[in-house]
Amino acid sequence: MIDRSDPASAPCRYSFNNFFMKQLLVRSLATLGTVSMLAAPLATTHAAGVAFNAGDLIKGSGSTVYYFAPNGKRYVFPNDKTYFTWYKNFDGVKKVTDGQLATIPLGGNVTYRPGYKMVKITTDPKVYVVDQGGVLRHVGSEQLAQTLYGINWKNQIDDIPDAFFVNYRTGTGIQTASDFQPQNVMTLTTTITQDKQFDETAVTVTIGNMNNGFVPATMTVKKGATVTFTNADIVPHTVTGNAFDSGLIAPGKTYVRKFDTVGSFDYKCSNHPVMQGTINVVN
Amino acid sequence: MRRFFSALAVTAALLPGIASAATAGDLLKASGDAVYYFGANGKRYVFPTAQTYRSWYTDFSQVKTIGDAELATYPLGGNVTYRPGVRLVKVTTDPKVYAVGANGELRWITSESVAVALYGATWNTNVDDLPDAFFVNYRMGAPIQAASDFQPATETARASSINVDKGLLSPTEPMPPAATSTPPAPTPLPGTGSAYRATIGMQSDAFIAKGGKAYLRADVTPGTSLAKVKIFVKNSLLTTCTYTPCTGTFQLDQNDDTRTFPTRVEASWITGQTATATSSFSLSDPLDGITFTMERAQVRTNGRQVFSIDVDPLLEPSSIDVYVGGVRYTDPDCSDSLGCTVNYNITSPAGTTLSAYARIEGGRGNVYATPVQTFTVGTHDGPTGSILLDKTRIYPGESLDVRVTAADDNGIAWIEVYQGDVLLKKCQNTISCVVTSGPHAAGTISFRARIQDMLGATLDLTSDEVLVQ
Repeated sequence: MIDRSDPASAPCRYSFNNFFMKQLLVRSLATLGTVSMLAAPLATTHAAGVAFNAGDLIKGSGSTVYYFAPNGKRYVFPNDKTYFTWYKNFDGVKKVTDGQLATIPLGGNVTYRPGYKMVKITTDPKVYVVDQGGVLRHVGSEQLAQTLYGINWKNQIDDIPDAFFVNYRTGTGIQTASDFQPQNVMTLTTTITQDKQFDETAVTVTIGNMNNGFVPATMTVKKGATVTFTNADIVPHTVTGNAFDSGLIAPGKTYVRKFDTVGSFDYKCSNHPVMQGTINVVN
Repeated sequence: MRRFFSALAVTAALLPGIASAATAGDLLKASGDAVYYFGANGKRYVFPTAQTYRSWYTDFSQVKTIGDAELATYPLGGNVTYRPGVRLVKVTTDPKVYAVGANGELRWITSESVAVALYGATWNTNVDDLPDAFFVNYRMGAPIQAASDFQPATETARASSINVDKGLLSPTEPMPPAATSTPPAPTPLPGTGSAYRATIGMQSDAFIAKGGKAYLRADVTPGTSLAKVKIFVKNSLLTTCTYTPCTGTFQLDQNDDTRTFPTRVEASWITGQTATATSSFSLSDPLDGITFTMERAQVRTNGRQVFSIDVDPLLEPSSIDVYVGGVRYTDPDCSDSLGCTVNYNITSPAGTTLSAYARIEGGRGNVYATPVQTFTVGTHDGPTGSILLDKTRIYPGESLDVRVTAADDNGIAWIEVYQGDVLLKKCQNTISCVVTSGPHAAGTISFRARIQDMLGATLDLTSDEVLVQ
C-alpha cells in the first residue's frame, strides 16, 4: 500500500509519482479529438491553493481547464469549441496545484451550451440542435434550420468528433420552429451547473491526503447550503470546527453539514491538524 | 451542405443486414481515416485513441472499406474501451494507475508491489495515459488490493472480442453462457450481485405543490440481511431505514422554485452488497389538484344540475365560480372554501347542449380553469351514479373490486363496467354492479362505467387511477 499521507514513504512516493506524471504522447487515431487544445495563454494566474467555488474554472500546471461542479467533481471540455460555447476567454480560471487537481475526481465531459450552435458528427449527415443536458435533437429540414439559425445557418454547425458523440444523448426531433427557440434555450441555460442540473445548494469538498488537504480549502457558499465532505484519501480524516465535528470519516465515506448561519467557519482534521479549511457562508 | 438532409433519403435503403457488406465484428472505414468496430447490435464503435485500437488489434489488415453513405447509416454506439488486462492506464491529471477489467471497468492498483506482481518489473512501460475526456467512457470498479484480485491473462482471454467485452448481442442471438460473468473472487465484491436491487418511487400519486409534501417509497430486494436503506432527495438524506419498503415524507419549500426533484435510494446489506437507484418527482400540474364533476349527463328543463368542486389546499383557493353556457354563476357556498357543491337550475329548452367549467382564483394571483364538460338538456333527468374502487393501490398479481351504483327516477336499464376499453361486465335491470377485476400486472389502470336509464339517457363515469406496483 502506498500511503501517500505518510511522510516516511515520501522518497518512494516521489519516484513513483514522477513516473506517473510523465506525459505520454497521446495521438488520436479515430478522431480529431484531443484534450490539449486549450493551449491559449491564460490571462490570469493565481498562486497555488487559491480559494475556488463550485462553478469556477480551474487548471493545474498543465494547460487543460476544468469546470468545478457543485458535486465536487471536475468536468472536462473535450475540445476548445465546446469551451467557447460557454466562455469567451480564459479570464477567471483559477490555478490549483497538481495535487489538488488530482484530488478532485473527474466527473465527465462538458457538452455544448444548449442553443449556441447546431452540431453534427463527421460521418453522419444528420444535423442536430443541442438542448439542455447534452440532448441532441434532429433538425428535420433546411428550412427549419434557417428559421432557427438564420440565413447563415450553414455557418452555425460544428462537427463533433465521433469519440465525443457518446457524451450526448439523442432526444426527440425538431418538427416545427416552435419546438426549439435557440435564444430562449440559451438564456435559460447560462451555466454548466444548470445544463447538467446540479443542485447549487449542495456542494462538495473532497478530502485529499496531507499534502493536498481539503479541496477546495476555502469555499464560499450561500446560506442554507449543504456541504458534503468526501474522504478520497486512504486513511480516515475528520472535519472538526468550533461548532461541528464529523468524527472519523473512513476512506470513501462522507460527512454532510448544512450551513444555516452567515459567517466564516474554520475547520481542520483533528488527526492531521495541518489540513485546514474554511467555509464562508454568505447571504 | 444540401447533402446533410438529402442523405436522409438513403438511410432506409441501407439498413444494416439488408444490403450491407458489414457483419458483426468487422472493422470498417470509409473515405476518412477513422476506423470503427461494427457491433453485433448494428452500431459502430469509435476507437478514441490509437492505444485503444492497439490493445485489440496488431495492425489494420482486417479493415474493410465501405462507402461514406453506408457508414452514415450505422449509428454510433459509443467508444471502444481498452481490452481488459492488456495495458495499465492512468489519467493525465491523477497519479492513480488502473488495470482494465471487463467492459471498461477501471480497478485502481493500490500499490507498486501489486503492479510488479501483475505486470512484472517493467510494469511502468505498460502504462498508457488516458486523456481526461475519455475517462467518462470507463466505470470505476473495486480497487485491487492484492495480486490475487486480478488475473490479467484471464481477463484478456475472456474478452475475446469487443462484442463480448461490451456484451453486445444481435436481437436473435441467445445470451452467452457465463463467460462474461464476474470471475470468482476471494471475497464478494460490493455491488456486483445483480440479485441485489433497489427501486425508488412515490407512495401515491398525491398532489405535489410548493409548500406541500411528497411521499417517497423505496423497495429493495432481498429484504433480508439489510443493513441500511437511505432515501435522498436533491442529494440530501431524507430518511434511513433498516427494512423495506422504506418510506419518507419530503417537505417542499414554499419559496423553492425547483420543479423537478431528483431522488435516490442507496441500499446496503450486512453481507457487503450495495444497490442504488435514482428517479425524480416533479411538481404536479395544478389542475391535478382540482376536481370538477357534474351529477348528470342529461338534465330536464326546470331540473337541477349539481356541480361538485374540490380544490387542493396547496392551491390556496380564494374564490370558486362555475361557468355554465359561458355565464358566470357564483354560489355563496363557494367563497373562501376548498370546495363546494353548486345547485344550478336549468331553464334552457330540451335539445340544448350546455358547457360547464369551474374557474378558481388561487394563491399568488394564479387563476385556474378546469377542462370544459358538457351536458344536454332533455325531456327527463338522466341517471346519476358513482364508480368506487375498494383499493387505489395494489401489488402486481392482486385483484380489486369495482362497484358501480346508479339511480334514476325512470329506472336503470343496464350498467356496463369497462377496464380501459375492455367490457368487464354488463348488469341488466339493477342499480348496482360489482366486478372483481384482476389479477393485474404492474402499471396504472383505470375503470369506466356507462349507465343507461329506461328512457335511453346515459351517463359515463371514470374511476380514479389505480397504481399497480
